Amino acid sequence: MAKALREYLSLVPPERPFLLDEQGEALSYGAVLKLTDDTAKKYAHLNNARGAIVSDSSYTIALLLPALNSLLSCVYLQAQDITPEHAKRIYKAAKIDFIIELSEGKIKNITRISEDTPFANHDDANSQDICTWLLATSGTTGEPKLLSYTLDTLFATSSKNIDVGQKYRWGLCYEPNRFAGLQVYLQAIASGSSLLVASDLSNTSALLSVFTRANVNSISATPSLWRKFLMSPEHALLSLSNITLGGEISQQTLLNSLGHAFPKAHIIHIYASTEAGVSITVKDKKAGFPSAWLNKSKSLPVELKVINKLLWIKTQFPADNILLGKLSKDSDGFINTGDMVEVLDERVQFLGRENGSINVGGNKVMPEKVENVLLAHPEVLMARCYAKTNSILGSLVCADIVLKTHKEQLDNKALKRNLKFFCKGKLNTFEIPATFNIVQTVATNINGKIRR
Amino acid sequence: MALRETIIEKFNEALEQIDSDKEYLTIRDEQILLDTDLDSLGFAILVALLDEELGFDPFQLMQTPVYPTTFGEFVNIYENANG
Repeated sequence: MAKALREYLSLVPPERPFLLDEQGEALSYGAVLKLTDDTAKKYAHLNNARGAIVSDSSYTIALLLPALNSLLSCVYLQAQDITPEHAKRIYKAAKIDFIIELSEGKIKNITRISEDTPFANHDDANSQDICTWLLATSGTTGEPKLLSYTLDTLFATSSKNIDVGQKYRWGLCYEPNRFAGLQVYLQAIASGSSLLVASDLSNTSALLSVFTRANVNSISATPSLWRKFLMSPEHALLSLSNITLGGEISQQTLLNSLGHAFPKAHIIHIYASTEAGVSITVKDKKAGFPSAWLNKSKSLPVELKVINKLLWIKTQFPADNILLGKLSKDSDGFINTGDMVEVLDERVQFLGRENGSINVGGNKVMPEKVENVLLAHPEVLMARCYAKTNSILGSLVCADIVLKTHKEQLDNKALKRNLKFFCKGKLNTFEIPATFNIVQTVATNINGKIRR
Repeated sequence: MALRETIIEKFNEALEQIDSDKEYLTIRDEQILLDTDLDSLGFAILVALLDEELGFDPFQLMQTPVYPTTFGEFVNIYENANG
């Protein structure tokens, strides 16, 4: 039978520290287990309900998630920055009964979403005992996807060695209601490790100081955040055993730098496909992954194949269901990851996204959107936007511009400045091209579309 | 123009690009980079602008890039790469 978080907590020796706040106060596994049981008893009327979890603090989510998991039949972890319209669509698609607001370590408010549909399946003998977890993919652009997982799926690739895990203290860099944060939270529980949850995750220097004071030795972050850590003087005080990178392409230069800065650390980079609900872990400190993995390998939890430069993935744990958005799946059960790759020197290297979207430090940029803004500029005839590799943020937006009139005397420097100024207010700062090239022509395909 | 001045000029250009009103006339060597008004996006833009101006990105040239924490280190990296 599928386990709930409560059972994972109960496998860990109760005196072992679990959650730490930034003052260094620790709550043991046993204490969180007791709180879980007390909360589940107190809010028994939520039994088998479907809840959207909204919280003003990461620590509070971390504290109450096991209880909510025990109570609810569906846990939707709502990101703080989604629009009310988006939230409404998700509530409808996911048949959410209650919005559960958390604050200061407690359930603060419970709001019934709609009185129209009666909610009455408490203590139903036939009710399912497997809680589903809902997470939305980052929907900065296009149609956001809402995917459902079971806890088993989410735990599938976690290490569950409780003896080894007691040595590790993770520092949380992302809210636990995001995929990146939830993975670290679950990893800590699966291996009985402790987890430091600071109140402010946005100030890098302060966060690193808190991590140092609390002797955090394991951190998982995106390549962009790792570069930022390396630029903070505070990183030199950290003593790390585990370094995990994920969420963006991990470049070789960064892997080398981390190896240099933290010579004792195990460095792994993770390729995760939210759609496939699974991740593959690369431990050899080299960018990409071995091309041998494209042949069916028993050591991997997935099957991989490359067709026309696109990576397809088949897993025994697919995202169990998709409630909003579409997945592209072939007749053999492989899911299109949308990631473009190339095979070079027995290594599969990631090139970027199929739809051309550019990942600027975790923010998605659609090139067409930027091009459309540029085309409205009176001097611009054609525009092509693309990702340019950047050593600080992985990639930045860059634009090739064909001018309407070829003016010899035109000052390119002034024009580029003018183009950037023109984009302000029409685009987010991260969407505005960092550099422009004035070119004679932009390559188009047979249909007259810009080649990507 | 000396490299240091070019870097400060592009530093201000990057600040403008991230909508900061701040302008630096000089920057001390000990200045911690992340304590300036330039954020991660700003630094990424700065490196791209300098690549455009100078024709190289020292961080991509280094086998094992050492990320600078102070302005002095940042300038040093460019000076060393410039030979």
